[in-house]
Amino acid sequence: MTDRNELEQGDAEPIMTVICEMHIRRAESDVASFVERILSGLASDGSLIDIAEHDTRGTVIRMRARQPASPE
Amino acid sequence: MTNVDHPGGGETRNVVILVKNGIGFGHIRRALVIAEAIRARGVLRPIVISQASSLALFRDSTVRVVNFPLLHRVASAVAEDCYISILDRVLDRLDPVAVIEDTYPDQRYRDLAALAGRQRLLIMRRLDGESFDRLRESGRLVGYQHIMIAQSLDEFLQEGHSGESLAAVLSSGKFSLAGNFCQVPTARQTADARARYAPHGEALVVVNGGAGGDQAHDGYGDRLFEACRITAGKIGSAHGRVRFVFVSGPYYAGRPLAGSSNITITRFEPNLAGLLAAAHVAVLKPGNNVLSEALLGRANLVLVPDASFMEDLDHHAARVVAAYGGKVAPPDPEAIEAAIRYGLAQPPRERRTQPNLAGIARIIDAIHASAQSPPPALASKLLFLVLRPPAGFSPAALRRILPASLTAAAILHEERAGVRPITTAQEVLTGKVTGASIVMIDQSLLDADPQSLADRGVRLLLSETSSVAPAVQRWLRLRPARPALLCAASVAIQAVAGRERLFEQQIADKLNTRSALCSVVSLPETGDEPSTARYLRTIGDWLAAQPIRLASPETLIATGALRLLEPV
Repeated sequence: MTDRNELEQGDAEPIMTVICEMHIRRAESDVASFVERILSGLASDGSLIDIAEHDTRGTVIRMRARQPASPE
Repeated sequence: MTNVDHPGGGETRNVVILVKNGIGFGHIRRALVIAEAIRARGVLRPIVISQASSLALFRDSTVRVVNFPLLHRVASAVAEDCYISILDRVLDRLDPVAVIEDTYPDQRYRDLAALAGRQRLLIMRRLDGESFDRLRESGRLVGYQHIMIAQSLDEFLQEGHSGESLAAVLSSGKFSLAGNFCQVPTARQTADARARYAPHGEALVVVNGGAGGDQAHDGYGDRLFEACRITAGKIGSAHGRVRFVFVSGPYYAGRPLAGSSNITITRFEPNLAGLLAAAHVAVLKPGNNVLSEALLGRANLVLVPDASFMEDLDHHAARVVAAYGGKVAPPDPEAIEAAIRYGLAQPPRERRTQPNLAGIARIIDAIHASAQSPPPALASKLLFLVLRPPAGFSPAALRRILPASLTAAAILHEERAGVRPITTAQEVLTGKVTGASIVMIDQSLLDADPQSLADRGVRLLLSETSSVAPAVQRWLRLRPARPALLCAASVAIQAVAGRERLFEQQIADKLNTRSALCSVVSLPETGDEPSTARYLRTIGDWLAAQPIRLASPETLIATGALRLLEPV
């Protein structure tokens, strides 16, 4: 599999901003609020939310977002 | 974002497109074409939920996207469970009026509580026959209200599908063939690609191996680009006006690619459709989407098949080249060079496909229709009733005395405008009767070739016994027809005037434990017209009072074809 660092080189991938992380094996892990953050990130056309990133042990899921460009 | 909360815009109901991208990009590109078309109509709000390792295709998208990892590749079972829980909750909150999946039914989706009871549609690009059979026989096509295949009927028939798959697709009523579709570049996009990559009017050779992922560990992408690099080096010294553009794909993991005086390297080209339209030669791994985009343009084709997932690229490449010209080559330097030189020497390809705007519109229509589907209703029990006239009683005479409640009953050997006759195999094979889709099984059947009946439009064989004879089943198994001939058993009833209760009891006994039944009723040989009419009126009145609907031949055939989607 292509390394993600390599994938992010160059301009193929959109620029994403980390929104939050969820530690899925901790007692305070809150799937419901994580889902709400996903939904709130989808507020407008062109919204892109990525939750594919996780650590190698699969214990931390990271949410990233790209907001659509502001109208000029 | 839920269906209740709809900030900005008139769309208030969500449609979710579930798509995953393993090796290539075609599924996501198709999903985006559909999502954009839904959005353009302005009635529903499309939301793409993808499983992909790269976000490149979403970089310029204007629809809403949530990207998950490929769920079968996450690092732990706990993480997979967590992601599935997130997906389930997201879907529940989005409360979609329709859910669209692409090509491969995902077991994870089927088991999501949030998808239970949803209108589910499957859009399916071309699959090879064996793969389609596997999906069908595993029951994975059952859960969809409708399946739209992105192929024309002619294209679908060329795939070598089994008789059972053909029968299921052509007769069940669950499938529609919308024709292939893909992103269509505008003239501006084509001009932009030309200006960017061939500003001095060079002939463009565009090389693309899909998203760069390898289907097998045979270094396909590495070999493809290396062969093209060597070719570019040789051609570059002889022709100064040829430029190679290598679109490696974000997943490319072969040797590092380096540009040269006549090679431009890009990992991803969002305007790939425009670039292909500007090309003089397109060197492609012939996956469905990129090949479809190339066929819209005039580039001469060099198709380099690779191991594929359910696509049988070798045979597909050969068919495409036979129809559109070009060469099929392995990813070896000599073969690639010869094929590219051949392509450069040809004038731009004349034969090309046209944008399938009507097909996309049909798909979008189907999605909107699905979103507006009325509340479900339980189906009545189905009875396919065949009446055999007594000797000396013509089918037309019998039709005249049928009560209104039996209008939908079939009459053996009846010839009536707009109605497909029910007859015997012999009459079809001898050409005495044409247009029959259902024939009665008789002794002459086994002397015939099943295909000869299928070629004459026969779709179902009806037995006058409670089970189809093993000899007939063996005959069908050993000489399978395409499309497959369906079979149905029936309850044979010898009608006796004044003993209508016997008919009623037999039908009730059978239909109490099943949803559909065929019955062949031989009307009394000794009965006169008034007594026959009385018999028909009595059983007609009884049937009308029961939760029974008389099935048409088409319904009987569709019911049989739907069973072909059940797991074997």
